[in-house]
Amino acid sequence: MSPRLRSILRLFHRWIGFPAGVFLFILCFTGSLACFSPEIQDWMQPHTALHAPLPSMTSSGLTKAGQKLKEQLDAGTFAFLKLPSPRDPVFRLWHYDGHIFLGPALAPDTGQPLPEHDVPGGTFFVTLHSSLYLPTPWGQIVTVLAGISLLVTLLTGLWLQLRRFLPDLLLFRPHAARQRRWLDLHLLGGTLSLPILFVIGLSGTVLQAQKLIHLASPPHHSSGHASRHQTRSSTPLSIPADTLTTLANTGQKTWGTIADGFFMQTGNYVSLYAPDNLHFCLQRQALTTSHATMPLRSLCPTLHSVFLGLHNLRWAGLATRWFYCFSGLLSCIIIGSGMVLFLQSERNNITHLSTISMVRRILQQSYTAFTTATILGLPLATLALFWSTRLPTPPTLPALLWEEGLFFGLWGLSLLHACLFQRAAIQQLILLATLGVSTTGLDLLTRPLHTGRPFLFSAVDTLATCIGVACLSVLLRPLKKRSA
Amino acid sequence: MILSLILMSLWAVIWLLYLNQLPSYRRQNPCHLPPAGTLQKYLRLLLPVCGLTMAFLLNGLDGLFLWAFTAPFTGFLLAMLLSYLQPPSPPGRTELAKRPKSPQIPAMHIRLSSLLTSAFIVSAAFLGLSPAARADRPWQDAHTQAQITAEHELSQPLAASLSSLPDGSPFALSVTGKIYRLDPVDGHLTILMDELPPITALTATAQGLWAVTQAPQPALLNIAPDTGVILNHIGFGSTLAVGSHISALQVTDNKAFLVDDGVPAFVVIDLQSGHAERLLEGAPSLSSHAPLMRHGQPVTTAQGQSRTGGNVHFLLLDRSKNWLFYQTPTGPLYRIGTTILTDSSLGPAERIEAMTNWRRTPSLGGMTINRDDTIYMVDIDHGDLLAFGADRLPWRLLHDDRLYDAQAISLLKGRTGEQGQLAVLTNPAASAGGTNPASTPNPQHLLEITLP
Repeated sequence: MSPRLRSILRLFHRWIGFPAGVFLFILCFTGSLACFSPEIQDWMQPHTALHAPLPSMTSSGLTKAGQKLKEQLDAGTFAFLKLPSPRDPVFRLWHYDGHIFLGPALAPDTGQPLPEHDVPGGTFFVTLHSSLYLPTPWGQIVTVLAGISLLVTLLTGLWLQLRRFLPDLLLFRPHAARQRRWLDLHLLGGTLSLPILFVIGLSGTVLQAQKLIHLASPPHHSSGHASRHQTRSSTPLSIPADTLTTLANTGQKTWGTIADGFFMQTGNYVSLYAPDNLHFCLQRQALTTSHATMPLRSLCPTLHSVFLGLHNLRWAGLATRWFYCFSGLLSCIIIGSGMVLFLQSERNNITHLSTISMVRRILQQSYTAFTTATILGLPLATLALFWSTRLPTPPTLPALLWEEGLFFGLWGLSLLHACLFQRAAIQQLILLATLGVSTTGLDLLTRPLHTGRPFLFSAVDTLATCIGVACLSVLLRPLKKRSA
Repeated sequence: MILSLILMSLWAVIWLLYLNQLPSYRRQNPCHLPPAGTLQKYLRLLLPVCGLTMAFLLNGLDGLFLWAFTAPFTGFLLAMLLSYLQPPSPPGRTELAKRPKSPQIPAMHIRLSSLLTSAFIVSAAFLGLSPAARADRPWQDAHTQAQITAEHELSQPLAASLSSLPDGSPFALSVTGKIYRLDPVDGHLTILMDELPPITALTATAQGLWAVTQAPQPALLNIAPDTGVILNHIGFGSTLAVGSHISALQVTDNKAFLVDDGVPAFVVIDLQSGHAERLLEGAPSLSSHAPLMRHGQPVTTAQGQSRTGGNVHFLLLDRSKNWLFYQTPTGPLYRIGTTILTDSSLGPAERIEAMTNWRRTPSLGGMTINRDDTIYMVDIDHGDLLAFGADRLPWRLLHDDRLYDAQAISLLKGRTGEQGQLAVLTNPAASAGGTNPASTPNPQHLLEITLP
């Protein structure tokens, strides 16, 4: 490779990678959390994890939940009833508030509401992942641009590293100089997970691009087509007492399971939708009382459904979802290390200059601030959100508003703090370590000790503790070196 | 989860092989495999393909994704781990310039270590295809499901025991210990012989019926299935302990194997000499360690305490009469060789080691075995009929709410090559918390199931 081509590729890799890295880090981090959206919802609402043994769904519980669904629909809220599943063992009477799904959780055996307030929950991270909580279509546009940048950065990175791709595949030198260490980490993660990153990035970009295309030219529906998301039917919906039970039994026979399926109003009927995890491709098959049999359909009806299956992995088993989550976190390490390398190289460029202009200094400070707010601020805000769902809410604010406000407020504060203070990263690391390490204590103090899902709580606590311990090890590294 | 561990081990081996083929000046990580040769090269290329095939065969699409995700994850972990193991001594420029070849190791040493490495790699690769790994797979729906073809209400309250002769004629035990001939066409019960002593366990073989009576004297009886006449009588009172209760038995040509539910143990009786021996008393696999689950709920006593459903309760003999399968109502299923129990040269330690955990099972309401050594079980926790064959593939043959109340199961046909049929004894009172069929108004039912 000629030095000129190398410098052009390096320029593209660095200057596309750094700004896009801010968004890509958010997408990878929230994507990892979105893999366990129902579990996060249950962690934030510990009473919905129920007591062991977990009660199963009963006909009376379903009938009662159906009555609650009708009440909501009659009141003008377009709610739907999500059925209990092993991942989320309660009914969820959810509606969409424009950003997230929220609504009461109902006991699977009685259909009675459980004593929990609305929380941002797992769907908060799903929304943050898919649209960065920005209004349509800006969220989709930013995500698509970030996705394209990821693909460009991956390709330029691969080209730059092509000659040493195989020989240095597992090369990591922890005892080398600081910049070499970060570069090794960046290359190690990047080369190993390149195919996975490419597939995830490509499928995510295609999905968001398809959304944008749909927004630009909505698909034509024949007259009389009833939108699933219509706010209200023209005639009041009637749900006879045994409709839901009959549909549930039919669904059970047709699909083998209805766990995680949902009841939703479609026109003048209530339909039972098949669970999303039934097939690789998302099909959204539905049964109604008038159409209680399913026509034969191809396994993957559209290209969109293939990409959905590839990107969302809703069909996957627990182990695969864990590894998918780890792949997302590994991507965070790659992006984070890339941003740190960018900072160091910019700092090195300044160091050689005899005089540094004010603009250059401000730019350097802003790069550092964005890196700190991305790599440390986002996990900090996330942990704070987890904490806020378990701690008392200020009486003047609705709980949901307070929790979401705290997340975005703290994230913004992290950026401001990093803009103003040189040692912001160290201070935020200390805070992150404290929150991470003490999450287990908070969890044990603020939930019933006897729970039906101990592994769920311990998994979240362990992940938070790992983040805390990782921060502690970074903080203690200079002390260790000094003592050595 | 097991597949992920297997794949991670496989990828660790592949990455180690990859590191090993690098020249030493480039190899920053300590790697103590023998120098790379042709075998290692082919293994490095072959193992990912083997892993992919194995993952797909074991877990389908999920396995493929797991294969893809475990590769970078394992590589990343291994690279980090090995790097920190390396002492912080960067190679000098002269060393880099020399680019020395791989270290020279004595030929004999290489051969031995190559052998060991290859054995490790091959065993790791094939671990995933081993019967034990396959047996740990979750129960999967069979392509063709079994069907309940008939249901009969029973006139007599029966105990949880069904057995059938090789021709498919079923026999049942009443709660009072009487043997009844069961007509599978209409569920009609005909008493076999009124004068027989109360029976606690029953099995049917080609030699007739074999039954155990504990009163007035504990004895093993061989009974003619058509007349009810006692053909043979062997006492074994000396082998029982206080609180003993024989729950099941199996008979070979010259031995009878009994399981004691009350004081967990095996009792082996020599049919020729009449000598009886009590073995493996208190062995952990003969006792129940988990609460009995029915319809997703633990079965409780009147005081609200969980019940285990008793100790060893099911005993089956395979077609070759070499293996006994036994388990408590809550599982797991164990297997032991009949020779292990009859070989007098073996001590308790060897016998306990030979008790093999064969398969985890849910709470069961009956278990039987057919001519092909396929074990059929009724899962009362989930209301399923399960099959676990000699190939150790776990299948779910049927789900029906009536199976939550199952008490016993037996083959009706299928021992002689016809399409298999099963009889399942159900007691609706069991779900309602009733324990004594005689005391409840809900009559028991006999379900007839046609196997796929």
